[in-house]
Amino acid sequence: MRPSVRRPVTARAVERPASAVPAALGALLVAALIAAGCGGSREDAAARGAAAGDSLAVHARDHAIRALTTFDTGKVTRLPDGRTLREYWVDAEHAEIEVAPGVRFPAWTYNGAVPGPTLRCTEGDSVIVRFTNRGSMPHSMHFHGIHAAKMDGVFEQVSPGETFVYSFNAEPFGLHIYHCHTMPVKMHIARGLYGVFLVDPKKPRPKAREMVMVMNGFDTDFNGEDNEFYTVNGYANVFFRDYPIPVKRNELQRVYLINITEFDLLNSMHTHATFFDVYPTGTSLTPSEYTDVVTMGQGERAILEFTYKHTGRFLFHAHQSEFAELGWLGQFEVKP
Amino acid sequence: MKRIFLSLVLILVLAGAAWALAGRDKFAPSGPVRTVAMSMSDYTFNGTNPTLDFKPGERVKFVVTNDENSRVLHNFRIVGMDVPCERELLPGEKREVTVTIPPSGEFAYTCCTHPGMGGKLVVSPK
Amino acid sequence: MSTAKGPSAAQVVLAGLLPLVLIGAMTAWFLAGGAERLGLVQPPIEKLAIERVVFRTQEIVLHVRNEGPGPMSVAQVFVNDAIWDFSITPGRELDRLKGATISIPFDWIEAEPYLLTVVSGTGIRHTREVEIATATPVVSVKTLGVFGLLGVYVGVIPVLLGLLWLPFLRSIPRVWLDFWLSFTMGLLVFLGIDTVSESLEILERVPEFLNGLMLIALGTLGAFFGLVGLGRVLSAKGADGNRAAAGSAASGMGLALLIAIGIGLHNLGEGLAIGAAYTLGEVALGSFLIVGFTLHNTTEGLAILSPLIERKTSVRDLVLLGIVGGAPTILGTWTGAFTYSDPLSLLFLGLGAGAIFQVVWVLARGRATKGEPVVEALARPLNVAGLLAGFLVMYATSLLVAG
Repeated sequence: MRPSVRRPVTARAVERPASAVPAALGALLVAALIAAGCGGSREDAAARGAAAGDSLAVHARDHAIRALTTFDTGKVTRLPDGRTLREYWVDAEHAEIEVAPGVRFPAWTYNGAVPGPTLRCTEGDSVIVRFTNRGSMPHSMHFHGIHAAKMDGVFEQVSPGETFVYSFNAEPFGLHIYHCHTMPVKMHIARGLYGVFLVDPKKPRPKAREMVMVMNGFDTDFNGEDNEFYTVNGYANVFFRDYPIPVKRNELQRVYLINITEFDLLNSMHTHATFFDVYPTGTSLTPSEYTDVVTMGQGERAILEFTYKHTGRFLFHAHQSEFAELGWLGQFEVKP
Repeated sequence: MKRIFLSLVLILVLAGAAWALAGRDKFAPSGPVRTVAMSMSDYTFNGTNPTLDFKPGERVKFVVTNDENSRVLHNFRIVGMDVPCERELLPGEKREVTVTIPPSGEFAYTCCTHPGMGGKLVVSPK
Repeated sequence: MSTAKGPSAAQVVLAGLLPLVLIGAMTAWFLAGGAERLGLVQPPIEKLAIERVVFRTQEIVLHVRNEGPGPMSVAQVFVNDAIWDFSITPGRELDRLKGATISIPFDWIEAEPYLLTVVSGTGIRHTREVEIATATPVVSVKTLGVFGLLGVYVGVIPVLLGLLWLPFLRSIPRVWLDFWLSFTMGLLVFLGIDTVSESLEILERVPEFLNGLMLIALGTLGAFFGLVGLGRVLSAKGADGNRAAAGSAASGMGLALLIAIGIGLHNLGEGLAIGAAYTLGEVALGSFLIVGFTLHNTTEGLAILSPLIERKTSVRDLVLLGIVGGAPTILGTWTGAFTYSDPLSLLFLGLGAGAIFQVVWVLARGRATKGEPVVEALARPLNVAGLLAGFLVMYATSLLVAG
């Protein structure tokens, strides 16, 4: 075995030129790691955001439009005494919805959307609502009507996972509402737990094209003081931008109008180029007013009846312009 | 000492360059000019205020006409793409403007005199 | 004979690099999703900064940046609480630290206030208020001239006027010199504190991730120590060629130049503030304001004079000193008017404050005789009187500038 050759060490230390290779490799490694961490994620975020947003937008738009003319008349059966029994199923669930294009809101809903289903019946019917709380906190249903204390939805709170059966006779006839009455009520309403409860009079109203309009607001930044957006049926400007409501000239229109806006004392509706008969709360068959602006506090509602004499596009909106400019704006497209 | 310092500077420069390159969009105008015709008539563009899609760098010529059956004056601008409002167009008059589509974004096109009349141009990457 | 072979240059570099590489790798892993996997969920604190508002013809442009910890999207834009159409580029979805430009077609009215709000995809409002809407100046011969002239009126001329006090200073008894130089110190202390306070106001608007307070500190300390170093260089050379006597940092022309540079830096920040205030619509540029600034700055010429009292100085040198002290105002006004940026402004103001404090320090040391502690020197009645008088004069003139 040959002895390893020892390189002679001289007294004068020769300084080796710094090898650039290790340094450059190190630099490339650091650079590559940094680039991997930072670059390329922008497009992913955009794609993810756009895809999710689109389906929420479609859902919001479709729900708002359907809510105009969808009435849940329940499962109908006849009672021994001849009265009609109607059964409804309503679930409280938390759902993320879109309230204005691109703006998402973690809502608390009845049956997955805001407003909740329009429950319709006739005066004198026996009504059963099977309410299941699929949320993560107590909720209830408080009906504006005449009923027993235990059916009022205040002291009987429904815990998550439980079901409560509300049972009462539908009275009085008129346009009513239901909403959650869990403390803090402000929050439970503002988050979206409300819907329409329509009790038709025994002798039905004259034939008309009917629409349900629920005026509300959304406090999207949760400051508990004001609303960022105002809508009809849950999606800002939907009837102005996405779906101008088609109307037949000279046909009687009936709007079931509800105000459930939280944080603002009043809301209103104004129709352009037509006047309407107002039936406050719908509890009378005689209109109280003939006007083109109706103003209501939270919880108030009215039935409006009108026809359009002329064709064309006509706006309808809150007469509080600040609400109109924040999403409470729509149009009717009147065709011959 | 000097060499160490220089090597460190070199490393920092390389790292910085890599980071800068990682975030860059590649963009250059390309292709022939595509003509898009729009008609303004009483409060809509083309009837539905459509959302128009484009690719980055496309060269597009917008030919916007105020429909001759229009009853009012209209005008046209694309916000954020340097297409400003100009004088109003009479019914039947048209205006042509050629633009290069920017690398990305959403751009509102509107009638200057009628808010709510307008739609979006969306630039989607390839 | 054994020679311990020291580490080669390459080994040194690698040793320094290794921790960096590991940190880089760990950071990259966190950013690429490692944090979520570890369960380190980030609280959804969203923050969008509206960095700049530009008013153009029939258009308002917002330059925004996502300063929050996670991605966010721009969903709606309000002008004075009304939903408005807008264009956005490069897109609505903004990753962390990415910016966007939002153009709003709006017929704004001159001199009116506007509330601009961006609502994000999660419904949170991000607002910026503009107190007075004015068209953002576009660079042109005319606007360059107007703002340049502003800089001359407010910066150059007052400093030159202040220099006219030289004959007066030369003829007063030597004893009173201390008073006047302490007077200068008092007025400069005021200026320094004022500059810091201005920068703290701007601090509120600056994106947090840029750590604006540190920018101010960087500017202040940088200017302070930079000028100390510069002072060494200048004293070593001496404007008239001799090596200056040991002890004081510099004398004569060198010191005066140092002070002029310090004041020039300060005026750069002041010009920036004036130009920006005009553009941001935060001040009505009335004649009162200009008069106020002019008086305020005349006393700065006095500060430059202090080392020159015992030396012969040519008019040419004086004019040059005046320009060194005053001309940066022009540069500052141009920068503030055309390319204003809050973070840059913080840096400049910090520089200005640091420069001022350094000049104060030089003057303070000059009051002390050999061996005497500076504080004791300043406690002498004449010096105290001078300090207070200087401070009060600046306070009084600042009331004219108030607003």
